[in-house]
Amino acid sequence: MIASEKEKKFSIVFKENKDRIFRLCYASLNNKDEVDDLFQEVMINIWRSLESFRNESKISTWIYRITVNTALLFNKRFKAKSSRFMNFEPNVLDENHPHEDSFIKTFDEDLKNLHKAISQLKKQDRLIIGLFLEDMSYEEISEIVGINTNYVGVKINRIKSVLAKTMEGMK
Amino acid sequence: MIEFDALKKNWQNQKSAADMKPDFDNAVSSSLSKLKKFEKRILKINIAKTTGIILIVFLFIWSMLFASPVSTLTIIAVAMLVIAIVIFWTKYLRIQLRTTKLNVNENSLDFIDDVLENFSAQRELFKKDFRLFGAVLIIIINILYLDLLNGMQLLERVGFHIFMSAALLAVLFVGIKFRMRRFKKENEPIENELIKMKEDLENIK
Repeated sequence: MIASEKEKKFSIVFKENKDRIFRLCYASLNNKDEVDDLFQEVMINIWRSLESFRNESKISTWIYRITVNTALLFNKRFKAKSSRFMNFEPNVLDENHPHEDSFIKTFDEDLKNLHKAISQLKKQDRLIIGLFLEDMSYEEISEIVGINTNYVGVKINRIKSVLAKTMEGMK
Repeated sequence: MIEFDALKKNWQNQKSAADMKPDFDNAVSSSLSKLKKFEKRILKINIAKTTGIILIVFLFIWSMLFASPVSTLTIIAVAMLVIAIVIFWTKYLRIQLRTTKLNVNENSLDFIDDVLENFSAQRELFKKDFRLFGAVLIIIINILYLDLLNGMQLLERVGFHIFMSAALLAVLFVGIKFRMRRFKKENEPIENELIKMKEDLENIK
């Protein structure tokens, strides 16, 4: 893929998916201050993997797969280690990106409670429920996470009941 | 009663931070151009490093084999040393490269397996391969000194061989200890977290 073609493709992918990527990144983190770093890391991984996308799955499934995997491994300590080897620290977004506070201010009460309840879950559960809230089907979630569709159903039902309980307690 | 369908709609209508700032797209594209420059720089650095290593190895072989008359034993030792360095260095670089180029396109369980495999390869490299490399290095150094110390008395020669071997052993021991401690501190917490995630995803009771 020639450079300009890759840039064009990336720009389309970015424009069409930035919101859902950001929402999933935000849901996956306990420390919301790190959302910029994670978002940027996802973007970098998408850029690097763009040539390997073969249209075998839906672009959204592919994007979510990259987002989920990047979020699963996202760890400040690991990041420091790999950046030391790579000597690359992208921080362009830090000065331009709005802080998470301004993001959370736009939430209504239910959404605030939902985010609070999600942040109490395990990382992998936060990502799975994030995919569910993005309206991904069980089959698509199964394709992203690599677990059987029935397991996805069981997992989501359990997470939903934990969330419902936590949110009821907040009212 | 929590209505998840309503929450889903609400969730998807969240005003994204990406939409809240007009400069956001520019910031991402500027970040990417930084990445592209970085990738080009890394390529140049890797080419320079490889050229440097080839040059050093070539000069070393040349100075050992052609600058002065040497025995067959020295030739064998130099050949062994070059082979050992090339094998160990290639393995080390391959593992390091894998760490930075993890395949994020796979499903999460396969991805976690890959990362764990990579961690285990890193550990094995220092637990097994580095020890083997150290043992080979001690043998090679002793073979080289067998020739170099030819004019000395037997006792002095034996002493020198013992000292060299002990010094190398000590350096290797400290190196392995230091590396394993760093591994324990940096990699093990992430490794344990990933193992727990994998177990949790696989075992639905």
